[in-house]
Amino acid sequence: MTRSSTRNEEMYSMFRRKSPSPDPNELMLVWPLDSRTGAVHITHGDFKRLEPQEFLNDTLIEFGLSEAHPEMARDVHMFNTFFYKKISNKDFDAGYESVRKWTSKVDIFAKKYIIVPINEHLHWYLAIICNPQGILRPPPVKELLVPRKSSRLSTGRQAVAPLEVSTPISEVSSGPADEAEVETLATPLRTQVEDVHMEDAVIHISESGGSGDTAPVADLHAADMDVDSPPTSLLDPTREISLELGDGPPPRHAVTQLSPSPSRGRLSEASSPLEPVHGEDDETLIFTFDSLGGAHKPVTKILSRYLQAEAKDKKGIVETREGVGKKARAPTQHNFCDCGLFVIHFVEKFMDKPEQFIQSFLMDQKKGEKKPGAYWDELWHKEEVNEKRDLLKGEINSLAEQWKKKRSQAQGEDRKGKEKEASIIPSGEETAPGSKSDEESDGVEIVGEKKKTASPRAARRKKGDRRSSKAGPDDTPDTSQEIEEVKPRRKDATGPTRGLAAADVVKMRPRRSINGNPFLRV
Amino acid sequence: MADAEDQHDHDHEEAKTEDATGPINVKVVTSTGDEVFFKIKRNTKMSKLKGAYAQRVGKDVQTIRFLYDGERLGEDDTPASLEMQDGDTIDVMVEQVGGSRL
Repeated sequence: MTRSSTRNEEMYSMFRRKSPSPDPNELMLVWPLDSRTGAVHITHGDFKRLEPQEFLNDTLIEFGLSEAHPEMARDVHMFNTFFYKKISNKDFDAGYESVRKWTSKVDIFAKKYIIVPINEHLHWYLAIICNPQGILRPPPVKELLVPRKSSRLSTGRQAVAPLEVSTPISEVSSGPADEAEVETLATPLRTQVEDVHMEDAVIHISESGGSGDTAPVADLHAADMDVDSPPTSLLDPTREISLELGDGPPPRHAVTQLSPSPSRGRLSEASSPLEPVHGEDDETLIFTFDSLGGAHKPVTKILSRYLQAEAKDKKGIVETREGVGKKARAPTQHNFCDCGLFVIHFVEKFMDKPEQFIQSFLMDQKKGEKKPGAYWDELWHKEEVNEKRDLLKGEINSLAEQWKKKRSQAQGEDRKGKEKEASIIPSGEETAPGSKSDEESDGVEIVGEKKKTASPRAARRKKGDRRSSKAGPDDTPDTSQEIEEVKPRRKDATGPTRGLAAADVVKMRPRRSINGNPFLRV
Repeated sequence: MADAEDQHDHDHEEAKTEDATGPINVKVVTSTGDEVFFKIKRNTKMSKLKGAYAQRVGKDVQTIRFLYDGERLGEDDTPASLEMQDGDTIDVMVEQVGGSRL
């Protein structure tokens, strides 16, 4: 094939939806081009997922994200798409342990932003942690947290006079009060910005019991954001609120003296010394962006815990606070296939003007906006999302061309040695000309297996079956022959290392297909 | 984990003789905790290991990803290039797709 015809094909596939269907397994691009560890490998099969209505996969998401503003790498840590899956393990400690080493070479607290792409239930969304080092401070006074429920129950009124502080608050809050969340989160004040009702409670209390610095103002902003019907009287002159409350019952520190009050039970862990509440600037904010509008409060909680665990593990800091979860109101998708593109677009635009984005979110929330304000149009450029598939295709195509060149050069140099090496196979005993270590270059040997879950009712495949099938993406003719099975050393390795029961394989499969969606692999 | 120790002992023996160039044991672990143990040579490409694993568990190699310390493994990575050590773990993850929540 001549060079020009190759190029023509590339051009063709660039502009046509249907490229001449190459082998979907064939590698198309390794990005970044230097092919270091961690690079994403895009195949033709991945590329086809950029066709209209196809669902994007992890590879494309990571490609799209890594492409967004590489110059910001110093300030940004980007987790891969599997991080959240790992960390959201039901057993948090096990989840943390599984990603503990992922950050052994990076100090995430030195970054300004941490990007966490998330895939759940066939849906892509995103969390961005801003100012992760904010959690490294000792927790604020926990007395300030009054579970909404208890204030609702008006135990306060009966119990101790000062608790009346919370009474008006619970009245202000409009809406269902007792989402279990409040208790389970047991957050120190100001964690769940999303949750207005709780927030209200928390803020007021903090105002009366807390510090007396300017922080409450910031708190209020944060608190208002999601109010369905913002208690306007409370909103604007934040100072007045504190006055209101202050006027009422107790002087500031009265609340801390409340300790024996009925509501204390839930707050029991709270015993840290009183300290000033910090302004919002110091806060670790955890934004979630979901083009379907979900709030994803558990994400905030999990990521917050992750940061705390990380602080403990990497820095030995145990006294930390929690991140403040915020749902970013941003444009939503109007179809059932583009969330991945929205995620990529989110990150691109956010990285354009991070500060402006953050301020805009906070402003929206302060105003209690349900929908993104008009000023979002300028920040967001929603129309670009529609072009995103084509843009990504174009980028991948042109990078693929570079990559091919680079690879063929490298291969040219490599080839002489490598080809012979590749032909070694059978026993690995061939004399390989490349280097003395070549004789070992192909060994892959299965030495055992351990099933954590199902016991294998093994319909074992014969050894021969396995060997006759092809072994993967390698260009070497039949790599399977190199694989020597060895008697399993593990006692629980179920029936030796021969094939695997079909039943066991099942749980490895990707998520089940959606009814009738032809785009999903099963 | 007596088994694991046995395994280690075994490897150490080998390590004594072959040291830096000798094969190492790696563990490929799914997110559900299933493990497959491989002995691989230090200059064996990860693509080969991945192929062998995929074949073993009956998966399409396209739908699995190998991660080492959170980094996607490339075709040309080898235990030597990754500075892997005996007993190291490779996470195997399944392709994720998404378009909307249905």
